[in-house]
Amino acid sequence: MSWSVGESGALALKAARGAGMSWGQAEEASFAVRWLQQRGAPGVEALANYLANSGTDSTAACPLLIGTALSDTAITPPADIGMVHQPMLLIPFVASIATDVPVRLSINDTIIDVFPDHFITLDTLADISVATGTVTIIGSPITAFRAPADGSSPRVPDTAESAMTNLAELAANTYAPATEESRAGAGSGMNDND
Amino acid sequence: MDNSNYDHDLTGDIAATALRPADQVMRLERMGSLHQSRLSFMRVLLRRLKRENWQFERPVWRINDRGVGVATYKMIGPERSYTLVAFAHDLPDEKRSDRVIADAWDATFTLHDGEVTEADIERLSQNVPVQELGRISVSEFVLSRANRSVRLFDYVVECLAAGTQPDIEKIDPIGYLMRTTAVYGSGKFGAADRDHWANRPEFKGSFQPELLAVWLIRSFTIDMVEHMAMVKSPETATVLDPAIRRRIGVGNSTGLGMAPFLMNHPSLIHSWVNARETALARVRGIETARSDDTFHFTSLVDRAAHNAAQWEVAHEYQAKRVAGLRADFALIKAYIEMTDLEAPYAWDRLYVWAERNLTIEGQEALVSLMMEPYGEIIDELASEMAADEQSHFRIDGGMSLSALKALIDNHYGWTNAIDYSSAESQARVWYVSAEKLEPRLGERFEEPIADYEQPLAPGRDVQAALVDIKAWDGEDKVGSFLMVHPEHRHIVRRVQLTGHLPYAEVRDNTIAATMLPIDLLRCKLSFFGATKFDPRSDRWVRITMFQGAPFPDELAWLDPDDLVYPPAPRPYV
Repeated sequence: MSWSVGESGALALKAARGAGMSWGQAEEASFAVRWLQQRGAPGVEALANYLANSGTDSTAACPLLIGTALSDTAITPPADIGMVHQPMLLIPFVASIATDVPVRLSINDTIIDVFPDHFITLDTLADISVATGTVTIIGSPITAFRAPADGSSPRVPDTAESAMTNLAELAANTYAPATEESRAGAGSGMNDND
Repeated sequence: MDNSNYDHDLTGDIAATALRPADQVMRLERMGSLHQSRLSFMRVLLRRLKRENWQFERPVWRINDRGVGVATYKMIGPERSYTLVAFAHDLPDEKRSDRVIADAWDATFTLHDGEVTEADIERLSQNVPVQELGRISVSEFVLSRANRSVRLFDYVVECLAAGTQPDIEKIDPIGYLMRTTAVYGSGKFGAADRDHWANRPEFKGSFQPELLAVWLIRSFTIDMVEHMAMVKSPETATVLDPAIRRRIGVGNSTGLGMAPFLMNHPSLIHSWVNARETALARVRGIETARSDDTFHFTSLVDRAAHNAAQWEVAHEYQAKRVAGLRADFALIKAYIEMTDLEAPYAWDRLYVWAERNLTIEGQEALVSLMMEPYGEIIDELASEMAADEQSHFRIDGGMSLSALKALIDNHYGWTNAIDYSSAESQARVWYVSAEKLEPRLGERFEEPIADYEQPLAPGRDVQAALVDIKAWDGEDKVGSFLMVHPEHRHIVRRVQLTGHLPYAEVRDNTIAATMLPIDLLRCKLSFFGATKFDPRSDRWVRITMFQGAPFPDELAWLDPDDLVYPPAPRPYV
């Protein structure tokens, strides 16, 4: 089974809200998941893992708080961020401040050049799909990595299944238990069998 | 319709008539009074299919004598083809419900990208009939279902089986054999993401795959009654007369699920309203109207008046408006008789007169009619009726709070008139029910639902943000403010977006005790091209789609734009 990117984004919004974020912050989580999945990166897993484990390690920062601060230019490069949960989730926000010139960041020892529409690393996705990592926003590189060709139609693959299930469980926190009023209130109150 | 041979270049005459302000347009009462126009998506779709000479086939018809089986409807365009796969079911009357909580329907559908194989049909037969419980794939763009109008369906079958034609007096008030109860697209239930097809020229604008599916569903409903008549009485059965057939559209029954859409897609709704307002401004900017165009307009006024006279509604709210509209048409006809529409800026004067003399329902009906003769300067706007929703997503954190406050003063001044501390002004809560994962509207002070509130009360949220903004220095930056107040992030994004796109926001209290969700439904459905709005409650509406429109086998020789308005009972003289 595969999912559309739209489904993953809609679920991310509700899951982040269900995990206690403000709606505006949850919208950023949804944005980050879509951005990554559209580029073949496992954003769904990153968010699901962050929401599941964020409480267990308070020495690492929230990637969405840091990401929105970067996007809002409340933090500007160069900046030593320190330890961040699921640091891959920062990449879409770094992309939002990149211009024609990419912004380079490092996650542990992995260097990533982030452009407005894509990111490039000479290492593997596994090197940036880490639970926590030390992040430095380096700024504009002197010589940026070159972009690979990309023609695939993005889809959220079946490997995301358990992460999608975890997000769905959190999303359920945003649904109100049904009441008699809610059942009665949505319909026409008239016979449809006409 | 090809307008390239117009002998008169209107673009030179377009003066800089200002667009109507968002404070006037984006009020619920006016949004709930909009009528279809030549920019409506159904009309955009049919104009393109006609212009590009799309061909139609029905490759599969395997419907049995009980009316159960599968059929496919294929449209072949210059570059690509699309196939509606229709599953017909045997639904007992007691299971027929238009509610989204229904779990069985008379028919279920999907729109497939390209030709379908038998393997596709087999895969889809496992998934499409169960709708939300099934999964479709990147090769499918739309998922839909429909229920019969039992009265009309059975009546038409009876007539055709007996070899007679149905009475148009019975067809017109209902206007459809089946009504869709959901039309899902854009990545829902595994369907292809909008990005996957948005750059295809045939789907430029909004909701083109969904409406292509609905238009083909209409053909399926006709084939079904003709098939059942043939089963019933093969000796005597006949087919529908084309002129009567054309009076049958597809119904749609829509509830609250659709209402939050306009608020959840602010840049999209801006693009729709902005196109319509630009069209109106262009018409008002015409200095001298041609006699052909004024004749076109006056004849359509007569036909639209006839349409209004036929418009039957049960709900008191809409009944009052329809009565007003009928009176408005009498006033419009009298005005036209007394006025030279070829005088300088006659369209502008007509519009200004309408604002002073007609109901809002009548004003908006007139706006749509004024646009009709001017496809050559209006139709191009349809391609702009879509939005890249990411382009205004990012918050400008470097903006000063005083600049943010100025935006609020400019675009949310209407909130100053609302006392959000009163119970009436925050009586409602938009939430999503666990039972069916659908939007609902509840009573804040009567049900335990406030904790589940969706962010659909921008007016209240702006006022709450202002309280906190006032405690900060005006030179402070939005980014710093949001680090301390992440709870305002949603509304700050909306305010900044509305600063760029003024028609993005509904400028009314969307949680007031007096708020009517059908206004939001009507606004959206009018952009689709729906007619015959028939509210069934304050939050549930039935409409017809494609009533009067050509069928696939007629598109080459009929003008879909002209057929939107039913013929007048007598020629206009």
